[in-house]
Amino acid sequence: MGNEILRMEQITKIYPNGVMANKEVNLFVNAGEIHALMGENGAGKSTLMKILFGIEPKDSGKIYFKGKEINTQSAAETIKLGIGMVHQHFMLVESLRVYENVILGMEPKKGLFTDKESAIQLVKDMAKKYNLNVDPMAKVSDLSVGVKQKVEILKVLVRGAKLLILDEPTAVLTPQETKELFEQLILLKQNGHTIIFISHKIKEVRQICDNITVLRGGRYVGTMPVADSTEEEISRFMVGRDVVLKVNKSPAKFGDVLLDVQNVSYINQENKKVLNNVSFQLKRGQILGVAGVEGNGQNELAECIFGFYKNVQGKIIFNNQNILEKSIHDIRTLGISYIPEDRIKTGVAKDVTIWENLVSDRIDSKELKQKGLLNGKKIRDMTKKLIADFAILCKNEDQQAGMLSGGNMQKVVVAREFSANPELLIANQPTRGIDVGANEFIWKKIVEQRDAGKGILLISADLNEVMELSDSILVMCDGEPAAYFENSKDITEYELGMYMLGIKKQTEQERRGA
Amino acid sequence: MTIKKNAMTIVEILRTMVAIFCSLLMVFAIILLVSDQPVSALRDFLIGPLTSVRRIGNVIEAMTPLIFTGLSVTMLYRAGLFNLAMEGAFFIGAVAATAGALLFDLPPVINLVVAMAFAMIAGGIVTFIPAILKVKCHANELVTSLMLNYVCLYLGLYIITAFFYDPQMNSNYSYMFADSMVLPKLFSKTRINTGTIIALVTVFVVWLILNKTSFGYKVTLVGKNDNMAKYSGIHAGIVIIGSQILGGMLAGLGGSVELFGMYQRFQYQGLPGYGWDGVLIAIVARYQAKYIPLAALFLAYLRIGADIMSRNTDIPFEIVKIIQAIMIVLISAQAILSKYRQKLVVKEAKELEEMGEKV
Repeated sequence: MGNEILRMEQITKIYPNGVMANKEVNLFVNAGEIHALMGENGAGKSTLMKILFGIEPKDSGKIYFKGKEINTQSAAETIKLGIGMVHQHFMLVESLRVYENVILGMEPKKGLFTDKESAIQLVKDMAKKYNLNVDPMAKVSDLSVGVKQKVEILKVLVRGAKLLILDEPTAVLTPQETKELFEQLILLKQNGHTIIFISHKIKEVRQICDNITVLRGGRYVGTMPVADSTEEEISRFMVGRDVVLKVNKSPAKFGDVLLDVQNVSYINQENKKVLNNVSFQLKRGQILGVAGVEGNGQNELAECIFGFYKNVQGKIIFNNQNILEKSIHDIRTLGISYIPEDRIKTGVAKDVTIWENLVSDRIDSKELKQKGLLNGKKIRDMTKKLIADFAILCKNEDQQAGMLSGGNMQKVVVAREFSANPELLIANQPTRGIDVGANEFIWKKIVEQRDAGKGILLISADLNEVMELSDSILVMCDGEPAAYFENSKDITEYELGMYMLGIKKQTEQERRGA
Repeated sequence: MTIKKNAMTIVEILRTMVAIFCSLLMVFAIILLVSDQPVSALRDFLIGPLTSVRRIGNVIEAMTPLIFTGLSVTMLYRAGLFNLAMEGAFFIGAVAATAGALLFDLPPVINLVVAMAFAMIAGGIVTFIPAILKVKCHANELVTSLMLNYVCLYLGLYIITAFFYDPQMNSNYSYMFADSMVLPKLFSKTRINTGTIIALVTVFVVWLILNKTSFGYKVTLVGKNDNMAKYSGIHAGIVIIGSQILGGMLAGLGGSVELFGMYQRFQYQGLPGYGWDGVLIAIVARYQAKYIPLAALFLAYLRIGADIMSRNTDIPFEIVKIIQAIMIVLISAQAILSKYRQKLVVKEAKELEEMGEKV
């Protein structure tokens, strides 16, 4: 054990909306190590780092840095202490040049003006020292994601950070870029820097980290040296059970075609063609998983079907009717439900009660009314039943939806969409960032719907989810279908990745014939 | 089942109380500092309105138009739009009511009803303009409605001068209304009239619309998260336009009730300001129809108290404006009680946590 550089003790954080993001979390980091902070989405990793960085106030707990207790109130203070953070979403000014971004806020001065020469020289020197290969004069908007990340790291180093926090740095990188990043991180370590590496990818962590701290559901699970642990052990700690989630389902019984998407193309408001000639069919009793790297048109595909956009080309036939250009209201009436990707922006209204969230799609229904007026008792009875059926953990139906945890908020969405009794359910990232229990529950409900002869279109960035839950898989790449597999067991995760990245692509015949 | 008010509601109510209390406290301090007769000033201000039947009547009379504009603002803002055209709608409502009263010669009550219907339609048209511009052209309703108020003022004055001007009057007043157009008085010694009853009935109707109809539900949902409302299959544009028209109709009706209750002819030379007061009332009532009469009563009481004080002592009436201003600032200051709020939130979250562990 080396000497400790950072000690976070018993940190608890409850957000103003009532979500307990951290509960008595510990994090002890030794000087000169690469320390992994692991956990699934929503485990509280980012919150813990925001607290350390002074962006979010903590509700209780203590933080010691280099043996002294610190209590910073802003990022600027924390940076001064020598802690730097590379955010998951880059904090760069796109229209400025690299060196301008790096020195922003600490410009070397020559009289009243910025000393451009020495600024560029400074950036060049630092880049050379840490082998971060960037051109100081390049415009940030012209750079690839990997290079932007280097600029971020450079920014942190120039400000004299000894402790670097990298928030899911590899999430946006290609395998080659990841490899390069790791080499740089090891170089930094050799130079005496300490790194906190946030990730949920076990393989990467085992490659470069010394110790691992695991969080689960906002709580501290444990810390262990990488050398002494196996992948299985780590994953058990993260997930809270032995293996990754499995789902029990009987073989699929496909019925007739429910949804027939024909040559759908869509150009978005930024004038980018996000869907290009997409065609596929979905049958009753089928879970069709749509796999793909995020931002390859999956979300737009779901929203097209559900009537979010105008000016969509092609045809979407649902139950022998073209539903393109119909309003969301009409599409819902025809029997389609949708679990949207972003539950906070679209799925629920945070500031209103749970019951109000549960009836938003059926407020005009006669079942909730008496003599033309809304009937409080009928509404309450229905919402109470939904809360019970879908095991939504809340005080009562009058609680604000924003007070619920992510998993329970998602259950509110799921309860509303499933209880509408749809023929077709579009589930867009149905389990993103929620706890394992809720995840399992939602999967079970989806399989139940399939067995009842409904069609499910499952869109997910989580490969495990797509592989486990789907009967058939459609791979999207660059707004086009790249591959289709009638039986999801015909393809391995590795192969799926090849199609997702556009390395392989099926011809139209292959997709039809498969 | 006992419905427990959730923590947020409690904090909101407390914040309103704190704001009212602090603003009054500051005004007392000002009075004590500047007045030569602070004791009698404070007495007039605080209990003056209760000292005679006429004064109590004055409070109720002052409350009536405030109820209408308070309801109007509640309706307008529930949909998430900062439409300020209720001021113009109130004024145009009075103008349209004048037209309705002077143009026709219908049987007594019917003519009154027609004139009020005129006022409601006119008010609805006024607030519809910023709404349709918002929905169709994404024009900021704050800007359009604020400007529209001046259009309303000068259009209204033009209509009165051009068509209803009574040449016997020195000022720009309309002809006198028929006696049957005046709302009957309820009590002797006061000018309290049936307009107050109309106001209270309107409160009930608005409460019913907002809380017991699917339209009211939709208005709230669109106001809180229009994305989610649209995704739920609600036509947000229609809901917004409907709510804005309704809000304008309430203000317009208020204009006609005030006109027929308190005046014999149209006498406004400028915007009367009841619309602006409506904003304060709606904020204090936390956009809940049922609290509007209370908030309106409160403001009316302050007004009459200040009026009495200004007539008897050296403190001017404008002191009320200070109270209003401080109250708005304090109520909209989110930071007040935020620590207490966080404490309640933490408590609630921990309770839920424990519930979860038991399951």
